[in-house]
Amino acid sequence: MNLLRRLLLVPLLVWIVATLAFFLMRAAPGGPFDRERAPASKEVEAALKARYHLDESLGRQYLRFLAGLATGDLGPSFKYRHHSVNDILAQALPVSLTLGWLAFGTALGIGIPAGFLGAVYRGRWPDWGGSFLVLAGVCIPTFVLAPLLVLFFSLKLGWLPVALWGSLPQVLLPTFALGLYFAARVSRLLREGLSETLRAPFIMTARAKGLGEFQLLLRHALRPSLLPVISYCGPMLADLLTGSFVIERVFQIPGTGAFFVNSFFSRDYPMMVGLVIVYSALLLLLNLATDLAYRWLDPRVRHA
Amino acid sequence: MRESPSTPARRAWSRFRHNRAALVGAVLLGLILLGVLLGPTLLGIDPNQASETPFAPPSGAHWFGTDIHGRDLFARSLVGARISLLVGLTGAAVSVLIGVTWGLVAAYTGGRTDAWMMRTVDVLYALPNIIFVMLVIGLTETHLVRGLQSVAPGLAGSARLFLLFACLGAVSWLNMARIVRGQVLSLRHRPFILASQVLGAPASFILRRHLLPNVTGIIIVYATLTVPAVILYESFLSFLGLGIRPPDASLGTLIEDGARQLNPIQIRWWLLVFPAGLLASTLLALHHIGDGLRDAFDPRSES
Repeated sequence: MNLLRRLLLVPLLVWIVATLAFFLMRAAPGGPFDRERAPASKEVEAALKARYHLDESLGRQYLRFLAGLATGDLGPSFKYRHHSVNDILAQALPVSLTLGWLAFGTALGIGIPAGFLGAVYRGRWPDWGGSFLVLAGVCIPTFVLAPLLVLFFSLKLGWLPVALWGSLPQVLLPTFALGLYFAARVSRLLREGLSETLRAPFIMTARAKGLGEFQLLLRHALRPSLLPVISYCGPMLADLLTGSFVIERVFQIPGTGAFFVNSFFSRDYPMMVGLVIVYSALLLLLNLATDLAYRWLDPRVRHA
Repeated sequence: MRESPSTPARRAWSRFRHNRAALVGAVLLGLILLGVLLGPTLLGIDPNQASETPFAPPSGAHWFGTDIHGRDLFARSLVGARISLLVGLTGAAVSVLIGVTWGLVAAYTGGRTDAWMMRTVDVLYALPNIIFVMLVIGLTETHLVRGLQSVAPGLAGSARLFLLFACLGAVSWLNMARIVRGQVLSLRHRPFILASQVLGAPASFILRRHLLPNVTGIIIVYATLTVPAVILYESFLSFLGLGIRPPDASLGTLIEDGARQLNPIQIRWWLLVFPAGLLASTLLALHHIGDGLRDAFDPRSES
């Protein structure tokens, strides 16, 4: 019931955010054709404005935008004249999303084992390894790690390509650079959660009944300890998606990051609004999915 | 001689003092602050002074080497770190102000208001706030510059800095609001609050006198952890070209400059490694202090 209501709320929120972005962009000083190849005569500017309906009243422009939105058409890009926003998104979004998912996988793939071992071997060398990971993740931000990795692995050792996207070696560095920080956060959350679970009475009971250590850890202790990690997944995905802008810039990956920044500076209204719509919808849905996973894992919430 | 009374704050301080990692962090931060505040003056080097030796590697004359315009990277890093710390502290202060007020009011009012306020926090949490920051900077900057020019012309150049303070504070308060609300919810029905209510104390008095002091510890802890988060966010924005403007520098812009000079022909590592190292040590110090404070204020760590 509550979930259904939240699902229905998503389009409403996206609409509010899109409306805000629509009007805020148009309120920003300057216009999309200010930097037209000079000298842009009055006639050229007027013709451009007429072509993109910018000479109409704000209300009419908004209605036109809503009508387009209803049919899934986000309009033409002002900067990349021969492409529609839909075309650009269709090309760039899959790249950014792939990078995001790969980094998400890295974060969980490194973070969960590291946190697990850290809690199980508390105070011994696997724990030290985990602490080092957390430390590195915390104090070496993504945009520092990425150029440092390029400096070392690509320029110094020459093992991996410097930039671009597509082949497996090209994917490795960006994925790792983006995922490390989140791996550190995940490992820390799991280590704290699992340490606390292992002190709980039901674990003592299970041990007293003679349950094998392996079964105990994986079946009984891990599941409740994963809850903090699951609830962190929502904000993590949001940070991953926006954090990838920096990675895309360093590695010159043709994702949405460049469009985000450029469309703002060049006042490419439809591009910006389109990105806002896609990203807000994506993030709201991912947060909803996170909550669903949480419910499924936590019997206290499931049966409440 | 009488033993000094054992207040919670005193016990927390004693725990903090015995935490080695936290002490190392505090000393490191002290050194960084000292260097950042006094260094540029003591060195007597103008961080914006161009010279004839661009891209000089580190040497006795230029400890961190020089950049593309031959400017001394050591002086630039110190001044950049000063800006980063300033943004971090002010942004965190703004976020504390908003977050604490929001959390206190939501928890104390309760009911429908609380639900709506926290729902708002959830929604803001799920939206990419970089868009908000970009829009606010783009919308208000020219107006702010014009306004400052008429009121205080000397400050007009810092318009971007003031905007960053406000924007970064405005996007970093969500966690604080949640934490404060949680704390206040657990305090709200305690007998001493009820007693105060029965005695006829107004809500504003209870909030100020009873609730706020009880959440101070946790506010300090999370404020400390917000500072590195804001510094990171500023560097992130600067890296994308939305933050501090040249010729001023923050650690983020310096790292971006260094990253742009990466090429296979000539490796000018110092441009990247030194500012990055300074940023990493600052973040490390702040995190250790924050963690230490959290342990110190955690009643469960009483032994």
